[in-house]
Amino acid sequence: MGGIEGDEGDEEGTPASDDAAPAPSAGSAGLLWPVRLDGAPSALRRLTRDELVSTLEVLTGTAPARDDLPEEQRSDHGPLLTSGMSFIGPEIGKLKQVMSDFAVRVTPAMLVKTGCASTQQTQRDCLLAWSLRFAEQAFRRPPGTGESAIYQRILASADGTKDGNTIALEGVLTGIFFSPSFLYRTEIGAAVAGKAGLRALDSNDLAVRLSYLATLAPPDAELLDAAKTGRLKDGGERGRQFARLAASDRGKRALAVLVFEWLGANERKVHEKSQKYLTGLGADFEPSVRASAEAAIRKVVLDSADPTVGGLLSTDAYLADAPIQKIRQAFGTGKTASGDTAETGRAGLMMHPHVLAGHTKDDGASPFQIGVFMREAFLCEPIPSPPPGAADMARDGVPPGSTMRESLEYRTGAGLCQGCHQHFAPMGYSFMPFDPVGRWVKQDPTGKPWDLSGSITPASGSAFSFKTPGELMRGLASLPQVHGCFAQTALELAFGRHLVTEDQEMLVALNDAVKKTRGGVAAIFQTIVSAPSFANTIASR
Amino acid sequence: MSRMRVSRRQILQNTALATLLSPVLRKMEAQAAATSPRRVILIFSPNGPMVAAGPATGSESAFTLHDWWKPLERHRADGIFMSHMASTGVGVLAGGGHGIGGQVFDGYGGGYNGNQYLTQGPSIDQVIGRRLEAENRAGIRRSVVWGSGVSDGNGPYVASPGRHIRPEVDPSKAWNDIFSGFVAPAANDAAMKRAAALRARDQSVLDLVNANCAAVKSALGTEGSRLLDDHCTTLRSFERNLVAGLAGNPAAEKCAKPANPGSMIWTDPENVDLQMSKFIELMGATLACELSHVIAFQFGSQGARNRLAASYGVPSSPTADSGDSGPAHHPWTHQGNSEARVTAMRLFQTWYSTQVAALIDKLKNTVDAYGKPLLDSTLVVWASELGGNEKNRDSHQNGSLPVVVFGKGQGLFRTGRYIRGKSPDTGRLGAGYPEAGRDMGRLLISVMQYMGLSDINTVGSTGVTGPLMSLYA
Repeated sequence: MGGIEGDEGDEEGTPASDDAAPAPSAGSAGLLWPVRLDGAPSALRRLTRDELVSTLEVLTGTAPARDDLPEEQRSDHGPLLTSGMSFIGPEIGKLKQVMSDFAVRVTPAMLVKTGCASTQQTQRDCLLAWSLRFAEQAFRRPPGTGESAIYQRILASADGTKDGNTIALEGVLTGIFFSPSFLYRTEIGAAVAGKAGLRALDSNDLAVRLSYLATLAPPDAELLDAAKTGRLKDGGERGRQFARLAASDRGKRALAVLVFEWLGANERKVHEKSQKYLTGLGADFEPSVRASAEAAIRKVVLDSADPTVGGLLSTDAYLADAPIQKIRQAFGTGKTASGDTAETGRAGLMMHPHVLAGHTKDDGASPFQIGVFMREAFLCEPIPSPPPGAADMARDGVPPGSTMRESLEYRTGAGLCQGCHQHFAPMGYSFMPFDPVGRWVKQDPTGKPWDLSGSITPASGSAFSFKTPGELMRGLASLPQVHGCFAQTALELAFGRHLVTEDQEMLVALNDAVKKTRGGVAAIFQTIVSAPSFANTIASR
Repeated sequence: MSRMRVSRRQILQNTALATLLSPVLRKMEAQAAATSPRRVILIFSPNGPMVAAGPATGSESAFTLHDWWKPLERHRADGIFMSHMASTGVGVLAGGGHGIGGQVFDGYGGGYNGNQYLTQGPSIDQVIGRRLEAENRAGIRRSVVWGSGVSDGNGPYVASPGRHIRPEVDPSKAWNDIFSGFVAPAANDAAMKRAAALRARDQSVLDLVNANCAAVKSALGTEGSRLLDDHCTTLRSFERNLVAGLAGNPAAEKCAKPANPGSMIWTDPENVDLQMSKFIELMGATLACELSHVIAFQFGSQGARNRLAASYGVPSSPTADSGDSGPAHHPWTHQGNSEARVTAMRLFQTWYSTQVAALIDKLKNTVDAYGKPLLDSTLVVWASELGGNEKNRDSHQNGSLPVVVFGKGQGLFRTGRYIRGKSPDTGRLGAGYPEAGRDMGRLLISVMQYMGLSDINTVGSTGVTGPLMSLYA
């Protein structure tokens, strides 16, 4: 059963394909949460769309629209991890077009930034010097051998005329933005004596890793200086640099992206919902509701004296925001009437409309989808994908008049289905009243009251019961297993991959930090960046 | 006696070879008589008709199209209508449902990284596209992957193990990818001089990118080859296209560049008809201008969340055990049988047929650079993800799969026929079910061979060999 500890004795049996899921090592390592060590380290890491946008903003002051860039493939329910992920043929054609168009758009402004205003060879020399500096920043390393000669050829048309200069600089920018050194991060490192598989990052790569974790963008001058002077070898210095960068505007955005990745809500989903749910919300609803969620994250993590994972899952800091008020207010009549009630008890970001929209389908709640997500993202207990032919295993003949929950429980009540569904369905059922954009529908489609009650048994402890989604979220927010699971997600995002046995030392440190601070967010990140293993990478295998 | 044995073996060998090679020989004859490049369009309709086998019944020559496929009636002379096929790999590979059905164009089956929905190998559009690219006959794109509706879930077109290709659903972006750089030859000396300067610059830009790609790949060692080979190869093909320019594309001056479809919320179901008409226009123009010879299209992904405009009147599904609901294709496939379910299936299937019929119209009415209708050289293969049958209304069966092939393939294929496949009407397993899956694999081999990959005699990991002989003239 997906390796959930304690499930081996499931008398209902499990599909054969489940055996492929590696068993987590919770308990045996004394950790608060079940850990899967099935990662595949790689020295190549594709920049995400968020990273591409932030990087281009740093370099040029603007960026292409995130939605215009090739979308990454998410292979499972977890956060987006791009280690070992390259661009594939069809994506490269799209990328070339986007980068070429972008280069054309920014060239006039960049020409001004070069400060080059001469003619003929003097102009070309000036632009060459600027291009090499720009490439160093974009590639996050000094220019390689022979690159200068190629830039010279690209710049051949730069004669001081507007057209000549533009053609030349467009070429330089297109070439840089389309080069693998720009599109990927490489973490190759050098062998570490006596530690097979471990490779020590050089200072430059270490600065890049730290900076992208903190800001989704390349290192700034201060961080590069710390790298050049060798100070980044010191874990304490890395912690200080991380804290400095995280407090910047770009750092705040990076934090939001990280938390959204954890919450499964980093993609725009509101606009995909059926039109009837969007009517009356206005064209700016989607960006404004995301901004509300971002603000709530900042309130919990940056404005609080004691920012915790539990705080993220129990905050009500967003309730008064204008787009949330729109969602919470009374709307409609009869069986589809919506509006928050005392039963709603919105608690935490999972019940924020932006996040909910990431887990609902076009026309309604998706209790199984959201239940699976919560079990995996908050408890780190993986659920296997449905076995082949699962849809045909569902029982037909749902009794007339059944509520949505009764209907789904009936359909999935057969033995094989129940074996897995029991682990996630109760959490999903508690979220059934939310419509696709997060409104609280007051009653079941049959007109009967909701039954939102349930109980779950986390791998690390005893069962707890809940009667509303708010109670469920507060219960999860207090679980050390959930805090540890968040720490694991943060570490995976830092490394861009799932974890491997070599990460165990870091996991133990994180476990201690989570215990000591009761899920302190700052402590989790400080532990990650200051640990000795943050300065290492794992050889691919 | 010895001579007798040899003679008999030779006869048998020659007979077998003649049987195996006859399509290839005919193909070669056809190739000699025609100069149009060969083209292929793969079309994937998500999920399945569920409660109808389609697309036709009757005998090979006297057949009746099912009502839901009736929009194709005007093209019956140009099609091979196949019922009772099965998803590629059925009975050969592990898995079922979407895990096999979603991979109808690759023959690998799911299970990559423990996920039954992720396929373990490339789909044939990618196999064909790469070969065309390697042989420098691909156009500016080795292949394109487009789709209608929302781009969600894992689709049927796959670049490499576990890497499903997300289709472009915005016709304007598809246009930008293909046609934005497609310009008429320079009109005067100054323009020609500028165009030459741009070409020289772009050559240097690609030199930079190629050198960088090679350097990064080299620094990563074997992992670099594994991860960046495709990236670097694609870059080199851009370079070749740049060098060839319009001079290397005789169709460039003879085809009409379509207008940019423009900005719109293309994922809004209310726009789906317009979206389809724009994609059909783009498909015709892309092939006629020889900017790509391989088009992969999907009406939706494995999730089948695609919808139609409200005016079609698709009933709204209650929340299904899959968690979705509303007037979409997928939730109805998870419901028990009802009139509303049949209505929904009818509306979706009829709509798919209508769009395919419009595409065939386009291919018949668009003339290529050689003065011939595109359909003469374009093979269109429309396959459903899952099947359907009046006698077995299981929601996710991999048998009773409707498949339609259009185009005579420069005289290679015999159209105007109905072929009943080998999968049974009832039950998930049984006699004929695996063989129908093997036939689907053979059909894919036929497509690859038609596109010039004559050395390819199997597909994916099915173990199937040889083309589907019943297709040929």
